[in-house]
Amino acid sequence: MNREDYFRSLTAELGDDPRSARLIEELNEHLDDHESLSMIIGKKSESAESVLGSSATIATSHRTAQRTASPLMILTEAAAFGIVGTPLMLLFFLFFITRVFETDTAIPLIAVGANALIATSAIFHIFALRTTAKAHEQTQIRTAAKLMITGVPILAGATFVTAFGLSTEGSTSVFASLFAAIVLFALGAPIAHWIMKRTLTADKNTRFGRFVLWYREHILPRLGTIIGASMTIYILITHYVLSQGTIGLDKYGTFIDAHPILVMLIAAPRGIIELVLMFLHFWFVDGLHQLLNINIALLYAIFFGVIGYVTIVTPIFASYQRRKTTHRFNIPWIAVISIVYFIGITFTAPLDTPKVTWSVPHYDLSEKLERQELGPMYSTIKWLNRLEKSYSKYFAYRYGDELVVTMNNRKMKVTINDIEHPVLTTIGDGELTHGFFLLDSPPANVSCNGKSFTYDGTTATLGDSSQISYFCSSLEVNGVPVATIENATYAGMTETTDGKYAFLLLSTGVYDPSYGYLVELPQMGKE
Amino acid sequence: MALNKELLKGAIEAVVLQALVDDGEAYGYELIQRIAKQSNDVFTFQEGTLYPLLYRMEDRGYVTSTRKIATSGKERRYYAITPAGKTFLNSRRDEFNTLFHALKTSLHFANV
Repeated sequence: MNREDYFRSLTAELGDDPRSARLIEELNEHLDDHESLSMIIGKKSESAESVLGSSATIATSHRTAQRTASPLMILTEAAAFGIVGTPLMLLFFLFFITRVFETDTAIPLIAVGANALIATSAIFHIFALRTTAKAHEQTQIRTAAKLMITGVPILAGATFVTAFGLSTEGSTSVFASLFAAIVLFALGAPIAHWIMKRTLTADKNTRFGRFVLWYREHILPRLGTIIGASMTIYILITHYVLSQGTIGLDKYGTFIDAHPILVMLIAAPRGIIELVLMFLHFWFVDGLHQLLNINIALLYAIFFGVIGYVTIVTPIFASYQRRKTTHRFNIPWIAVISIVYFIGITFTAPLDTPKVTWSVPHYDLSEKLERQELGPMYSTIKWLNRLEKSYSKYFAYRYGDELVVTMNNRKMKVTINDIEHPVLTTIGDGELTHGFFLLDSPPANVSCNGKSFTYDGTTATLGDSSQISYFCSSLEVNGVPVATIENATYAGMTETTDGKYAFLLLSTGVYDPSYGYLVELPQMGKE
Repeated sequence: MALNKELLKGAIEAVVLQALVDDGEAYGYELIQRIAKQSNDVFTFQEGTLYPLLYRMEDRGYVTSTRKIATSGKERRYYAITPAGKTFLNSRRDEFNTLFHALKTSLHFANV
């Protein structure tokens, strides 16, 4: 995108506002100021992409190429000119002397010397030009490579997006959830599989080691299959083992680069962190791309424990932020595995693949966001957020106009007609009968290793849906595997404006022992 | 105090207005630099965000703008906060203060 197109896209947002011309004027001045400052401090204009959007990298790359080539060209051209020009000037000078003093003796020597110098200079000139051309060619190659990469619509056609909120136990479900919520909102993914790595047991391997293994075995192949092998380029996970210490905001701020789409999650065993979503909006949207601007404020200093994880969600090619992070924290570089990327996201909603999402507990961001910005998962997350805000541990079950939940082993019911302000009422165990739950049987199309979730009165003696639980390796919807798990517990049905959902509690192994999932039942449609 | 639903979105306005209060009038690019510096680069605005925002705030009477010669010798449009803008800023500060305290309590930050 060139400057004019970029300006046009921005002024279009103003509509009929007569200040469109003024905006263009100020934008021109702004970019001039930016370029002036970059030249003064010799800073690489890395914000060009952020200023103009990803596609603007094309124009930026060309400018960079020109800048890269120019000094060398000037140098070599100057050298060539000096080598050639000096003997020529000398020749003219001696010719002038000869004519003035009317002597012929010096002419042959002058001619020989001058010819030798000219020949030498010609060789240097050719060499210089070749050097220049080669440098220019290399620059063009680099530019072309960059264009190829930046030209790839990231996540285009993606049907599966994974976001990882790493944290250690007891620390940061809030922050991981915040992260999850934000990324989910940001991606608006039709399929989002949220994994919170939370391992409590000691093992011969490290937690991170198991996580990496799991990631390689289960995630990368799927990404490679669904999105293409190149996807692995764009999905990395950053992992750090942090040393004990305190990081003040004065240091923290320096590595948050001036990029419009930087989101960070800081997690630590005893993290004292307050993250606030300051604003989230689509900075640029067209038919193919969405550029999301997410700004998070960090209110206090960060305290790291001995072992903690920092997940940095940065734009692609933002190795600068990662390097600077490790540098600032003075932490060993362990691995770089994940980046979630937001530019150029175009999603193709799958027709027959169910929606799997991690229920996002605790943090209700939805009320702070504009409805139209949240994407197709808005209502689901909104429902979950509100549910989770009220219940720390729950099962949910729909019964008529009421939502029956088990919260901390106490049976509650919620009138869902007024979900803005749920009314909690304790209901006695006696009211919960087998027939109560069987009124809305588990969906037959959801299965665990091919076995449908069915209520078994012989084992589920309390009539509690949580007792419909299978140990299996594969969760399927309509026969299609959607998750690799170790255990599945049917917790009920629910519905949102998006459709009906089976509410399951899944354990996918040591990495994800007990988090609720919603499995969308696409064939059931909306009511 | 009931929080305004537009509170978080309004944060950006408050940050800009506060920068104008702290260091006086500024043109767009200068304002972005100023805010980034003051916030240790936590708040980094893009011009595509800033200028429409300034226009909206100008419409509401929170800021005024005039063309002036900058120290660079170039003419730029300077923005300054108005009394109405200061009133709005104070209101937002109160709301944010309420929000932060509520978050701190609700999320048990002190006991993590």
